[in-house]
This record gives sequence, C-alpha cells and structure tokens, in this order.
Amino acid sequence: MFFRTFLERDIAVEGKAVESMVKLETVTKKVEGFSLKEISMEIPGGYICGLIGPNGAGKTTLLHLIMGLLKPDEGSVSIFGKNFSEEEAAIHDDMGVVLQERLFDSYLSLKENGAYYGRFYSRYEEVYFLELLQKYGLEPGRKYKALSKGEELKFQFAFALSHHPRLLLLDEPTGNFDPEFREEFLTDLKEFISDGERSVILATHLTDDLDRMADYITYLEDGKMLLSQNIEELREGYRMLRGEAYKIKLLPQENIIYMEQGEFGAKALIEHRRRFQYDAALTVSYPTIEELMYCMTKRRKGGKRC
Amino acid sequence: MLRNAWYAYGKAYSLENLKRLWNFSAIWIFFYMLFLLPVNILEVQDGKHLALYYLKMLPLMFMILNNALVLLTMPKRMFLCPMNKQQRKKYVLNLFWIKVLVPVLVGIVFNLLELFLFKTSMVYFGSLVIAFFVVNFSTCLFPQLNAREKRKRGWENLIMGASSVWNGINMLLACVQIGLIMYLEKYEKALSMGEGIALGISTVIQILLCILIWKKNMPCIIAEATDYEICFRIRKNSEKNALNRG
Repeated sequence: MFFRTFLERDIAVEGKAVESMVKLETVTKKVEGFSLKEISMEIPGGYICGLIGPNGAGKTTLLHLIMGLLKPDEGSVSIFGKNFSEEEAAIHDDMGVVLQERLFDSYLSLKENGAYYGRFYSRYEEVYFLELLQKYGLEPGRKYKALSKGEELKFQFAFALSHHPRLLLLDEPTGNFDPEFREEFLTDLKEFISDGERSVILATHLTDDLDRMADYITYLEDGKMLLSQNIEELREGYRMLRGEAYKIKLLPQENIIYMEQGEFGAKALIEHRRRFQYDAALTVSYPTIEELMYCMTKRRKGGKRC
Repeated sequence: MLRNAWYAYGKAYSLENLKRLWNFSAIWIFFYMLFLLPVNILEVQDGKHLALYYLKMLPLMFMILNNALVLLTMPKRMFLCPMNKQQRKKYVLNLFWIKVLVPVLVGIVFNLLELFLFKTSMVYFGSLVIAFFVVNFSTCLFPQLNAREKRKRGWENLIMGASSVWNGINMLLACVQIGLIMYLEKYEKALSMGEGIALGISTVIQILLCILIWKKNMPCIIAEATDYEICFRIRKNSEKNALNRG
C-alpha cells in the first residue's frame, strides 16, 4: 500500500510494551486559509519522529495541536494518554518545546528567564540548566533579546532539556545551527531518547538529519498526512532507480511512483516488491528521505509516472 | 491583591520585580519629561493654554492602550507552561492589576506632585483623575470586543466600543465634564455650588459605571485572554492593522 500509517501498531521496546506518547485520531483543524484533514498518528516512547513536508504543509499547525495551543475541530488528541481539557498542566509539565518564534522574555537575562519559567515545572533543575548553557556556549547573564537566531534556539533547547520532559517537540531547529552545534544537538537528542521512555517529534524540511536519526517519518502535504511509517519499513518499501528510462518502464506502471527523465538518463522512485528483478544496468539504491519527499510531492502535483 | 500582582511578575519581592516596576515608572518619567514638563513650564510662563490639556492626555492614552494590548499579548511561552485554565486566568488577572492599576497609581502620584510643585488648579487635577478612570476602563473593552466581533477589524472596534450603551454614557459624561472644566478655565470662573454638585454627581456616576462595565466584562476579557487562539488572532490582527497604518 502506498500510504500506510502505524496507527494501532503494537510496539514493544526490549520486550516491554511502550505507552503511546502522542495519539491523534482523525484530527481536523481549520485555521485561516488552511486546514489539516483527518490526521491519525501514534508515536510510542523511545523514538524520534520526523515530521516532514514542504512549506505550508501543516507541520507547525500539527505541532500546535500536539502542544495544545490549538484545539481540534474534529477528532481527538491525547498526549501520554491524557486530554488537554482535563489535564493540561500535567501534559505541559512533561513537554519540552523548541519553536521558531521568540518564546521568552526579551528583557530578562538567560538565567532570569530560566528561573522565571522554570518555576512552573515540577522537575526543573537550575544547576542542569546552567550546565547546559555553559555547554552550548551561552553566557547566563546575557539578555535574551541580544541572542542571534541560532543562539536563541540553543537556549530554548537547553531550557527544554532542563525540566526533564518526556516528549520534546522541535519545530525546524537545525537549519539555524552551526555544523559543530548540530552534531552536539543530534548527540543530545539521541541521549535524550536512550532510556526508551521519552520521544522526540522533529518538524523539518531539512531531511539530512532525519536520515541519520529518525525512527518514524510522518509526511504532510496540503494539510493531509500522506505517510506515517517506520523508517526501516519505509526504506525497505521503496527503491531509487537510475539508468535508461526504457529499462525502468519495464517495471509494472502502478509501482512507479515518480520518474524524471534528464539529459543523461532517468531516475525513478518505485514501490519495491521482492519479486522484482531489476536490470543489471540500473543503479538501485535505498531512497533518502529527501528523495522520497521530492518524488511524492512531484507525483501529487500531477507529475507523470513515466 | 498586591502580593498576587507581584507574583505575576515572578518570584515575590525579587529584584526582577523591582526592575520591572522601574521599567513602568521609567516610561512614565519619559513621557513626563517629553510632554508634561514642557507643557507645565509653558503654562507657568504663558498663562492658560487650553489645547495643552489635550496634549497632556497623549502620554496617558499611549500608556493605557499599550497596557490593554499587552494584557492580551502575554508571551506564547506562558501557554506552554504547566498551568491549567484556572491558574492561567489567575496569571492574566494578576497581569491586569499590575498593567492597569500600577500606571494609574503612578499617574496619580505624578499628578499630585504636579499639583503641589506647579500649583496647577484642583479642577485640572480632578479632570485628569476622571480621565484616568474613563480611559483605563474603557480601553479595556476594546480588545474584548475585538475578540468577540471576529468579522470586524481595527478602528471599527473603537466605534463599536464607543457605541456600546454603558461605554457611550461614560464617554459622554467625560466629555461634559471636560467641557465644563474648559469653560470654567476659559472664563476664569470659580465653581458655583450647583456646578460643584453636578460635577461631583457625574463623577460618582462615572466611577460606578466604570465598575459596572469592568465587573460585567472582566470575566470575558480574562476568558478570552487565556485562550491561545483568540489571543493570537487579536495579536495577528493588531499587527496587520499596524502594518496597514504604517
């Protein structure tokens, strides 16, 4: 099946059933000039979920729904098995966020901001927060308004980790990080989920990082969820072929998702079947997330299969 | 109440709170130096300048409109903090006290100082106190009307605010009072017994109306200010309006 979801999946890590961190059931939300349509997804503990899609696909709106900032028009959102209407404070206590916007008080220093917002969280650790600031090269006495975009996201990330959340929501953070910090960030994210009880949702359109660390991919376009799948299954289910166009066209048409012909040959994303025998002249590889995203978007926009 | 107001700005009685209060006062001092002080000096040197009364209202208007807007633009981060609806309402209410009442108190202190330092007339002082009440409580309604009337935008809301019955009466009374004060100043008349009683009664009615309007609308303002979607729609609209105006 081309579009699969992992709703109702029975997931276990090291033989232990893992509680769903996030569960969305047929969620519909209309915002100004845009709507999310019937989104269903489930994210278990101990995983990094990449939320991908072109600009304006609805990634941020979906994150806002998961954060409880927006209420769904239809369907339900439950986080750690709880609803926002009943246990909003408990949910937010376990949730860390890094958003593109400036979230903190501009006129306070980093330390003051940490102390001010930290007191709302039951597990906030100021010592750990200051350690993280030092680790990320941020001076605690600096004013929040003086931070650059990248530094501001580092600060948000440090604060998010310092109150020990179970779920971390990140909205396109990596694009503003320098390469050195990006490595550190990815390492810290992996460490964050290492106990198998915490999860990360990372919305991005830069897919390089997801190739390296995401366990699940949810692909959105025009407010619709086209795909929500384990990355291993996803890679296993598709192949990228490069070579002569007529050799690709020998495969069943319904399995060719998108094909593009260039001056020096063609490339195509195909739905892989074990029975397929690929021509030896074709280069066969696992698709990267970027290639998957590109081909699926092209196909949705009316791109030809062949 | 004061303790709650402090709480809204972080750890109780901490240095950060004092800094914040200083920020508020600093804005007042800035406006005072910019508008009121030159006006007062001019007034002392050059007799009466009725138009200057309006000028004196400007910083007040800026201040109060700013407060009303800030009330509904609390940091997005607060919506993500572990608070339930009740706790968030308390936070906004505390914000209201410190954003609206503190400037009023600071303003009254400044005007008292003005009264004694520059020997301005008691009538003028009274008019400013009245204006404080009217502008403060009336402008609080505009954001709320913004939220309720989703189809209407920008300045239409101001007209709507003025056209709501209680608010309209209130504004009318304020105009009559200011007109009366201007008349008295122009013809250098002292208040007669009848005029004094009329002014006194109208002021009492006005204050009662303010309380009525506030009591009636405050729960709505709080409820709407604690709703992220409404709060940020208002912010977005006000940004759009600012852009259009700019």
